Amino acid sequence: MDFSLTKEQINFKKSVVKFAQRELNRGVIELEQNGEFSWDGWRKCANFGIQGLPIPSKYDGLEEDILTCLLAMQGLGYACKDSGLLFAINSHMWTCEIPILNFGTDEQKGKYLPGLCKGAIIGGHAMTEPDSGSDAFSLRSTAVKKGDKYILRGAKMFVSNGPIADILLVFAVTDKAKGFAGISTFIVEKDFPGFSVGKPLDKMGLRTSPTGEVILQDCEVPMENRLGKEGVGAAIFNSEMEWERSCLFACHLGAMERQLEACIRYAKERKQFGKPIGKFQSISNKIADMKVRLELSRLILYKVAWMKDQGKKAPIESAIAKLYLSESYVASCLDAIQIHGGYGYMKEFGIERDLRDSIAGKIYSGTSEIQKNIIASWLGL
Amino acid sequence: MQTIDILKQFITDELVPDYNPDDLDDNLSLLESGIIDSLGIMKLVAFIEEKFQLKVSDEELIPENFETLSALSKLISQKQ
Repeated sequence: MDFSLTKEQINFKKSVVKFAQRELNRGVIELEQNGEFSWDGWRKCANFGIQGLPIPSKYDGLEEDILTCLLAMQGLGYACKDSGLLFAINSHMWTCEIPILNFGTDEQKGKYLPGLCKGAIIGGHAMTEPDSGSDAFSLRSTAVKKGDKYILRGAKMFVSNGPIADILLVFAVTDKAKGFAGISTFIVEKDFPGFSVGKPLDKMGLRTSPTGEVILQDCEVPMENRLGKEGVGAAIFNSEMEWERSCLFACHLGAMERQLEACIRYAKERKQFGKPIGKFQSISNKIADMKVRLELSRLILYKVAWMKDQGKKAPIESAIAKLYLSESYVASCLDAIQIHGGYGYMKEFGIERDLRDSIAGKIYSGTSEIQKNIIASWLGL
Repeated sequence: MQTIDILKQFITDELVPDYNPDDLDDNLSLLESGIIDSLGIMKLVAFIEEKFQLKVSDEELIPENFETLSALSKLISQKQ
């Protein structure tokens, strides 16, 4: 394995950090309080090329390799305080763009990818249902062929970007008898008859990322909007999750890096009992723990990136990365608040917001418990 | 050992230890009988790729290719 970064990759990450610091942090506290999506931030990221990072240039993407994408996400996580915006961008990229790139026909790629890269079209996916979360493939939404269309029926829950999406990859059952292998995927446009979205859901964290319910009431989807063959839905979902578990969590890596720097700075400046608090082992040990988590997170994430770059599947590695990073980020947020004491608990400092945002990481893309099940299953248990 | 026998051995060793390799008919639906689930298919694919030194793409993970042992065996022979 070779994780060494090129000069171009390092410079690109620096340019992402500068861009995010300069352009993405205005009014974040108000946006967060009001649960508002930053359209301005979305457009600026699109103009920079973020949404099209992994997509070939013929579809208006930047055609960057996976490690460079991961570094860019790390840079955003480090410098952008609007985690909801980053979550929306990640959902758009890994659960919509990449599956269309990997499973779509030339016509589907030509029709949707340029708009997705430019940010003119917002994407996402709709898998979870009111009664199927961790047991994702027990979904009940159905798709039945009728002439040159599929008729989709069902309801989807907790759909990231649902309230603002122009297209969603919707998963539905086409052959119930075949279980997980009877699920297919459809590119559903918001204007298709029978498609509607509920109100944005009010959340504990990631409040600037719109999440909602999607209703499919005899939704008419043209045959040409089926993504991949019938029955390939589970493979599409698993592939998406591998990408999301790798790249989305690079933002957490960046955020942990920022937190560590802030804690070191604070532990050197803040004095109690006549000396900097960093001189007390109760504080310095916490900071050492944060550093260990950061470095181990970086290693497992880069390993997954390297494997995917080699064209290898990485189901167990991406499960380990997702589990370790999401748990580490929550632990780092708690340590950062404790180190900052009362100030860390105040909204003004933003650390409490990081904590609220971090909790979701243990739930989306498969809960921590599901990641452990995946790992155990690969160990033959 | 024939391809189908190798697959039977893996499936009964790793996925459904309660089964005897002889119980697995070549044309039994591995999906409808619940022998392969969503995690099982990933393990089976990883095994096939390593054992037969070939690559199975995500697009190929459709029922026609892995619903039965016969279908799996056919997919493997096409790729060898």
